[in-house]
Amino acid sequence: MTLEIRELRKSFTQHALGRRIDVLEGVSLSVAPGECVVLSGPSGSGKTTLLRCVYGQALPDAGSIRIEAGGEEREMVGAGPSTVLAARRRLVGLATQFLDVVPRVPALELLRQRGQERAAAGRLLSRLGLAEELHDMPPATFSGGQRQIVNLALALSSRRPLLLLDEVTASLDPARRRAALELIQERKQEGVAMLAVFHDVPTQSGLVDRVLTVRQGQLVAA
Amino acid sequence: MSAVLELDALTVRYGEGCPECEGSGPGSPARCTRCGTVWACRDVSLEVEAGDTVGIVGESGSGKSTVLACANLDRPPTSGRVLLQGEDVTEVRGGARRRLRAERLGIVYQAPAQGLDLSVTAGGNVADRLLAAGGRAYAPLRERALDLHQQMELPAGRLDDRARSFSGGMQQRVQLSRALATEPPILLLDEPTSGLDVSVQARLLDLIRRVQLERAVAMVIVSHDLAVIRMLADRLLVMQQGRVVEQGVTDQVLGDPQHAYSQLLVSSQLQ
Repeated sequence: MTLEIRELRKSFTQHALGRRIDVLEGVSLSVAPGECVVLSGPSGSGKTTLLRCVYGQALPDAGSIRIEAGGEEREMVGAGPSTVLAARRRLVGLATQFLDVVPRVPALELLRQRGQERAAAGRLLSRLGLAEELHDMPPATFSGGQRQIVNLALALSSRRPLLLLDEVTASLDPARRRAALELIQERKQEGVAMLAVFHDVPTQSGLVDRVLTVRQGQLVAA
Repeated sequence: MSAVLELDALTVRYGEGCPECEGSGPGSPARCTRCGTVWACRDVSLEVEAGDTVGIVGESGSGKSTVLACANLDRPPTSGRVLLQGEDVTEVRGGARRRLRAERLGIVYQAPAQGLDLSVTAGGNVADRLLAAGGRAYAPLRERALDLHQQMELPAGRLDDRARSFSGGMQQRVQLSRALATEPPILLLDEPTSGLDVSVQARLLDLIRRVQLERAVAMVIVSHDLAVIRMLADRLLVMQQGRVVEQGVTDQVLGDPQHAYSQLLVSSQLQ
């Protein structure tokens, strides 16, 4: 298994309000290489929180999250910053619908800084439907959809064995959404394991293996 | 990997201390109500590896700049140690300290006047640091200063202008070129972008990002601007009343803050 989550618990404590909100109450799931598992559930049910726990952006209260690929294994629950950062460098990538843009850096250069060769980066952006004249422009000037393309390109070019996708097609038009899903499927066929949240679960054949619904902090098969 | 910069239980206090404040735990005020001793920073430990950037955030007076001043050997801590590449340099003084600073430490202060001699030319400020690190011949010094000047996107024609005649954003870039002149393994940045307009800030951030990508420096950045920290720092320390109250991976601390003060800081940020 590339990803193995056991009995994961996560709550948020708001000190100012003296309040604790339980979000995940014993979630277990696993994702095999080349498998795409989709999380569904209403807004606020904890889908994104689950992805953020796996990426080390949120601190779980209890349980275990093991990522394993290429002979390397990391436990993310209770991991220190260096373990989390090492896992992100080699094992796990995250794409969200938001892009924290670096001012002044052109889209192509962002991909190049992540180790992507220039011509391949250009092809990837074009396939995702970003007009060529925009490749050399900073994404700070882009529309929401165009930024999302850059974000997705960054995640798909990273070649991590586990990809976390959070609403990555939310602001794309139908044609670009299709192109994005095609590319995601190609990565899956190459053996990348995926845990994803989609507002509209793609019906494209062969992409989604399982849909799990987050309900009252638990996971149930949809 | 071993740490390039290590701060070990740094404490700086102004005053003699008393049994009450010396024994006090987390949450105690920075100024002792009984003896008046001010604890500028207390038990601050930090390790930075090559290619790693650590951010420090916290309210004014929380001890961020004190930590940076100790790391730059500007002031000795009351207790604790500063290690550069594994070597304990806490007690190093005089010429040896000047040389350490010139060769291993680069700093950009919030106020350009602190990091530059404003009555000297931009090139002279850079050359001064190269001289401190053992440079002698004029031609290579000038060549290096000009090269850095251009890397920082400063107009080549102004290398011989006095630093005083430069704008704030340009002075920060002169500071950065001075800091980088000797290719030190450690770069310390104290509010490098505050007081700059957004376009100049973006240019400076881009330059700092390039330094991160092209040179494997160990970097510590102090800033009030969480967006700047989010962009530049891999790890983050949150300080309050001289103590580190929370630390972790930057997007985790800013996205899922655990301590009451970190939560306040994050929720106070303009979106």
